[in-house]
Amino acid sequence: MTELIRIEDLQVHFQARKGLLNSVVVRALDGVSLSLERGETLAVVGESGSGKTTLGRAALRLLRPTGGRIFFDGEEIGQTHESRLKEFRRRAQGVFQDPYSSIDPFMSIGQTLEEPLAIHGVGNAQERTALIHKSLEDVNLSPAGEVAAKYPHMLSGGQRQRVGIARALILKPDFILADEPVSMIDASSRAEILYLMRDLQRAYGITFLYITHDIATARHFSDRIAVMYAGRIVEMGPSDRIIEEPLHPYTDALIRAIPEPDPANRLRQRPVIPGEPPSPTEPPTGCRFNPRCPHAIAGTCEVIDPPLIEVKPAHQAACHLWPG
Amino acid sequence: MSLLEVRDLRMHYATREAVVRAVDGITFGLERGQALGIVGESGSGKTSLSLALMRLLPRNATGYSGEVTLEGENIAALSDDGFRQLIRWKRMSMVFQGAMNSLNPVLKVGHQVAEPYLQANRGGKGPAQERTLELFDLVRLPGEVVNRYPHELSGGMKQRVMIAMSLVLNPSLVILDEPTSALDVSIQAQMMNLLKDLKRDLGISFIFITHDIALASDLCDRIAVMYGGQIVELGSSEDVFLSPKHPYTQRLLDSIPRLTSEEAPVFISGAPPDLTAPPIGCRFSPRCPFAFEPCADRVPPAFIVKEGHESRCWLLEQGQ
Repeated sequence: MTELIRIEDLQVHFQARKGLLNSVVVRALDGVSLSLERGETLAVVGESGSGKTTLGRAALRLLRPTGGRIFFDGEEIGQTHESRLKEFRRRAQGVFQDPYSSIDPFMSIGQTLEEPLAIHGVGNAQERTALIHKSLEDVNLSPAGEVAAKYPHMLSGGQRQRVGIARALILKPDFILADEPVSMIDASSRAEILYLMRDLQRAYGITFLYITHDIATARHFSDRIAVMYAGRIVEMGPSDRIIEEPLHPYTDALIRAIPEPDPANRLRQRPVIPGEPPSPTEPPTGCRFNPRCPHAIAGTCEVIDPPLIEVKPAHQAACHLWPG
Repeated sequence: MSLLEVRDLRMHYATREAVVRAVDGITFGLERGQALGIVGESGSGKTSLSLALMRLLPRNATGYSGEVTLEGENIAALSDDGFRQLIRWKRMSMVFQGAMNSLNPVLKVGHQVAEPYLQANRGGKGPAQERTLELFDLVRLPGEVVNRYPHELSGGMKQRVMIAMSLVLNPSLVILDEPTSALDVSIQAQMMNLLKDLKRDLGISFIFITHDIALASDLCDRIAVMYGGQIVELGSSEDVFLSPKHPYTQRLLDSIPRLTSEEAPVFISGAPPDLTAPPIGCRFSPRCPFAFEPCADRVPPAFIVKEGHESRCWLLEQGQ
């Protein structure tokens, strides 16, 4: 496999107003490094405020990072001027959370799918219609001709999200960012959308960055998982290793917090981590998880910021319990 | 005597074109000190059911009928005024979905929790303050939080305030509508532990409404699975999770991606029924892999699987 995306020491800071005159710096991403091999799915898992959505937006260059570098197929795109990103904009696409607001309600499905073709000057009218029908069939929306004539309000949430996927596919991208693509879809239909994305990935060799708060879907639908906490990656490795042998205490706590359907659950208390995630304007010194960590080592964890290092083959953690 | 008996409860919505049969013949009971989970996907009618129970009927509600017997009294027969004066908040209260965002932003949260207490004339300001502090302690909020404004609190803390408020007049039943769905999993787990404690220590009964059947297992003694405005399966948590009888319940459980197993999740193809024109027979029949001769045309009654476990599915007719 070869590398498609490499992110090095990425930082995204925002200025937020505080009071009338002062501002504070929100460190949404604070030193994130990762790489994606061609054709793999990397899931980025975290709670709200962990920086996972910001990471996805930076990877698509929907925002310009404050620091660090992003390489796409060998070329630096993190700081490149928008005018030189057109080729990248064709090769990298996004599928977003809300299928109700990410599709223009006044455009027919056909028009929605034609827009990217028009922007990138792909084909003539006849070829475009063929591409539109092909991508609708790819996402199991048929008969394509009928669906293309419909408007978004005539479709269910799951069907709309498939239109979102068809739109991302139509330019034959190398990379798709999927940011919470199923969190607004009913539980019984989620797997249908996720299987569809996996099938398309296999058919076209697309690389996926799957952003989610749901570590269980990440286990089943990704090759590797990166766990984020307070703007950092705290653990990254093969999906089954992350779930079965988590190295970072935060990952472990996150896994234990999720109930599996079991009638015995109600008879026992769930082990929980106390407190809430830190403020992104004033993160704790040392390891950002140390104030909530049951294994914090006094004198070390609140002082020294642990780097993300390889602890087991292909499995990295940023934790003083694993000095490498 | 059961705490609550609901019999053939209905509430529909009138839209310009048609009538939406959101709550369409709901029957269940709840014992004192128990928690009942009402589980369903979007559009199954679970939130409408909670509104019907609390008699918070939307303006376009129509065809409200049925019996709701709370501690022996048919409260569905009370006038709206009578319901407000005698039942709502006093004997039955509710924590709404996303309610933490409905706190008044310019009032200290302590005031807001004390408000129902003062309204009900249970005592003056002094006792109201005392009661508020007692409740904050109960939901594990530091006492000084009473003097804070909602924007100074995290989502989890606001939800604790809402739970405190629901308990202020000592109701025997609290309806929780998706109380944790806006919270992160680690905060959600803290909240579920709190609800377990309240149930055990105060003997409060809960109706826990959620789209997340796994989460329901974290609190509920009994589970009602809703589909298309009706309860399709009702039983103890053991019955429903370990030997579900309705094909919808079975597939819903199988659709959950498991953390601890390699087993691949399944999905239910198709879409939930249009409640302006639901299927004539079983409402799940168009999506059901086991549908046979009677399913499309005849409404399945609630077949008794065993004492306390029932399911509306024609597959169970043989066993009757």
